[in-house]
Amino acid sequence: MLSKGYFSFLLLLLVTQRRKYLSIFFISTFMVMLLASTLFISTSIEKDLSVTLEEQAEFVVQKYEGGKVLNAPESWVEEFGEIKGVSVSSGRIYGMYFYEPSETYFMIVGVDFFDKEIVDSLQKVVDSVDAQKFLSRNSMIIGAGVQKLFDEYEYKGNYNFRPPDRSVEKVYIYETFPKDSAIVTNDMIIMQKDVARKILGVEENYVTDIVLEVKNPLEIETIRTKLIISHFNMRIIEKEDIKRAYKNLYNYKGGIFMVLYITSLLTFLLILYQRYSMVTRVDAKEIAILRLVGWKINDIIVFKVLENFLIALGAYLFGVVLAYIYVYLIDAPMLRDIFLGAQNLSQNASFTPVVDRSALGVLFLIYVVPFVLATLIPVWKISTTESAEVLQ
Amino acid sequence: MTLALKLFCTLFGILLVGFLFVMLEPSKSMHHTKIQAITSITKLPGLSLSTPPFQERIPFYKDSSNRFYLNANSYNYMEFVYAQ
Repeated sequence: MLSKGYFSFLLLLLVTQRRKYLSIFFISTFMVMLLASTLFISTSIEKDLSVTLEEQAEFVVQKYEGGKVLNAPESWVEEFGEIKGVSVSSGRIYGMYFYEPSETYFMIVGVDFFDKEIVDSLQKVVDSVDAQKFLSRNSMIIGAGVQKLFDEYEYKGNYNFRPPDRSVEKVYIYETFPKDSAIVTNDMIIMQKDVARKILGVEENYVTDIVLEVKNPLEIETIRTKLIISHFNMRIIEKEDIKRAYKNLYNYKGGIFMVLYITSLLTFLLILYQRYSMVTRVDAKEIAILRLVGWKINDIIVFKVLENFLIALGAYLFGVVLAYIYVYLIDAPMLRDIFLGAQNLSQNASFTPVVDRSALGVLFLIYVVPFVLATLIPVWKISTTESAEVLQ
Repeated sequence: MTLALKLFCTLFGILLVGFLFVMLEPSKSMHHTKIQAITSITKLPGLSLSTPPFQERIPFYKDSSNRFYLNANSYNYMEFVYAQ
């Protein structure tokens, strides 16, 4: 039955009746592409997030009073560093800076450029970092989104920050982060700690918050308890809390998209079912002839299922390839904004290519299988019609 | 086989090769090294999301610079005056 001639006949029929299947093929391709693109974007973001979260310290301690987060006293850094099991305790200086002309925010992060480890890490991202040159005057390394905005507003080479004390802090642009790191650096400005402190209005002997690293995971609970009882005006954020928050955020966004997708998929399958239920004269004649030349009902059903399977498979393959090109080569315009947002600086990040094979397998099951099943019943109905009756 | 059939098989073959490329192509980018390097410096998790002013940049953080209140309320024209 499944001989070479059988397949030749099947392909010949598909080629000769291509106009009949073309619209179904293109709609199917578009639907697969849309869902595969969502899968690619969400897996890529998830992967990038997991990388950033792995580098995150186990605890973040913030001073929290009257429902407000305040700058934490620097003395806490030393105090928490003395807790047994805490391997590193350090204060961070960071915060958002409002850029009035475009009503957007930058994230200013103060780092210690006297620390060789930090300079070495920076050199992995920006090749030409020379600490001496950087520290010779107020300098900053800015993200691609910030650079784009500065260009738009004609800030060439430097920017005058306005700290809360109404002074002016002129900071020179040292370098721009490359586009392929924009997923984390787009709105970021890195500068020397002292300069960041001044611009953000963080007083001496204070830090924005404190991070604590713990080497042994078994000690996390004990350290947490010790932190809770040490001060009553603070908030402790654990790495797991942030992981959960991000997971919920993307599950929510992906969930909304999935609901919309399933609705459109069901509508499409319904249209497909109806389309196959309306037997055209040509279809009925074709099946009647096949039965007259000795084909059984089963053979005809298998033949028609194979015919639809080839269309669905082709659309699936084409859709996945297009989605890969759309997400990883042209950075998913429009869809990108749903996941990365578009209410602050424009985000032109390129996604890290990550392919979740199991998710693509699931996509195959939830698309190709219902597609073939939707055509099965109408085809069975047609093939059981008396052939003599049809030919008359 | 006719020309149309050959064309069909060729197109299907190309699709299959493209799909296999998508499935097997390992992540060759340097993105993760760079992301790791940046995060190890800043110790800040999360992505540079383009979030609205009323939402914290890092979920759960509620960072000290509350975005409702501007921490640097600058005047546009003054910037040019000071620059001179």
